[in-house]
Amino acid sequence: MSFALARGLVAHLISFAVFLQGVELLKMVHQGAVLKIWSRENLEDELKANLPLPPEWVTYFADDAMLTYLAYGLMGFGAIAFVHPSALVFFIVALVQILACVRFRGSINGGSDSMTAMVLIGIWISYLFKKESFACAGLIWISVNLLISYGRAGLAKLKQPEWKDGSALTSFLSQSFYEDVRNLSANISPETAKKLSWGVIVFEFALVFSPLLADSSLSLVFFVAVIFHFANYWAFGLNRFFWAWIAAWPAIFYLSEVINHPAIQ
Amino acid sequence: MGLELLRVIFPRWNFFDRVRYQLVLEVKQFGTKEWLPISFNAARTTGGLFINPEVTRLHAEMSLLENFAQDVQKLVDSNGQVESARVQALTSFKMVRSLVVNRLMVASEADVQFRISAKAGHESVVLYVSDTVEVSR
Repeated sequence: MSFALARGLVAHLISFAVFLQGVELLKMVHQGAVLKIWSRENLEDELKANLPLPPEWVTYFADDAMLTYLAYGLMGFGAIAFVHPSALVFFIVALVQILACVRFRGSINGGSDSMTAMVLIGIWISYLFKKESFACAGLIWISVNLLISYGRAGLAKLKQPEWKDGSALTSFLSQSFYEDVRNLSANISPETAKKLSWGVIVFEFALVFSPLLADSSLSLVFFVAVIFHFANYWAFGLNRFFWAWIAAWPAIFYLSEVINHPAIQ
Repeated sequence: MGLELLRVIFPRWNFFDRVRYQLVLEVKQFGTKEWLPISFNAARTTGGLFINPEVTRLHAEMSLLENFAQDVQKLVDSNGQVESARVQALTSFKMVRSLVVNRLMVASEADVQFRISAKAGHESVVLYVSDTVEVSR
């Protein structure tokens, strides 16, 4: 995959993901619970103690209305980035996304926020430089983060006896917010759980080497990755993870091109 | 805590890495003895792959409970005791209290206590029991 195509795909996918995150945040705010739990009353003192900003700025930032402004910011700048991707727009999108996480005491949705931020920083770099030899650093940054995310997740599981014997998988499924998944976890045999667990561990490890594959093989791996992330969404409702990780994938295709056909680059 | 607010740009990439206990949040109405669990259930929605606000909020609330449990553990003294006033000064305590009050606004009008337990299999350890919390009316 060429640099231009990979950059364009990442730009569109991450813009779309950020737009969705904005819509979702707005709906969360309208549902009310978020405004009560992550309220100014609860967070203002902590934010004042930890943000190196004038107190009156922090008061404004901690205001409940800021949650709505940040949601609109994600939606608006996400939409602009989708239509007119540029270094400036992606800088603003990354800033708004990081600010939204800070307003939520560091994170709204764990790892998906981090992957979104890593992709936004990478795509910003790729638009910042005119020369492809510098701009490609942005896509390589994204692909390295994606590969590390798979590799570290696989390694962490490999260290856990509960993952190796399959009990971890059923344990996590039994804690799903969805009733059908909790019921399913009770019906998975230990042998099946063990096979599935090893499947996940091997798959996550194997992905670290995916850039070494040629395009056709890599497409197949990508297809399996889509199923893997969709399964995570289905089991745990992790929709944000799905879009953040998929948005990073074109960078792997680009890295594969660089590794397998260095003369073309 | 300052860098914690920026942890999104310092990813750790550890997912489902530990088979942890499950945290259970329970409430007890003033004057009763029965602890009732607060539900963390969600229904599947059309288009949930695109926007899934209820589940994303539940994940955030569950992370909040984990943060609170960790904060409380840090306050445990050498005698295994936790000073109530110090817990109540925690931001995570204020947020969990708001979570409890918000969930009970419709269901209850009585003041309540809440507690957090760590459950693993059939074993359960109570990590924290609150003083009475006033449910706003």
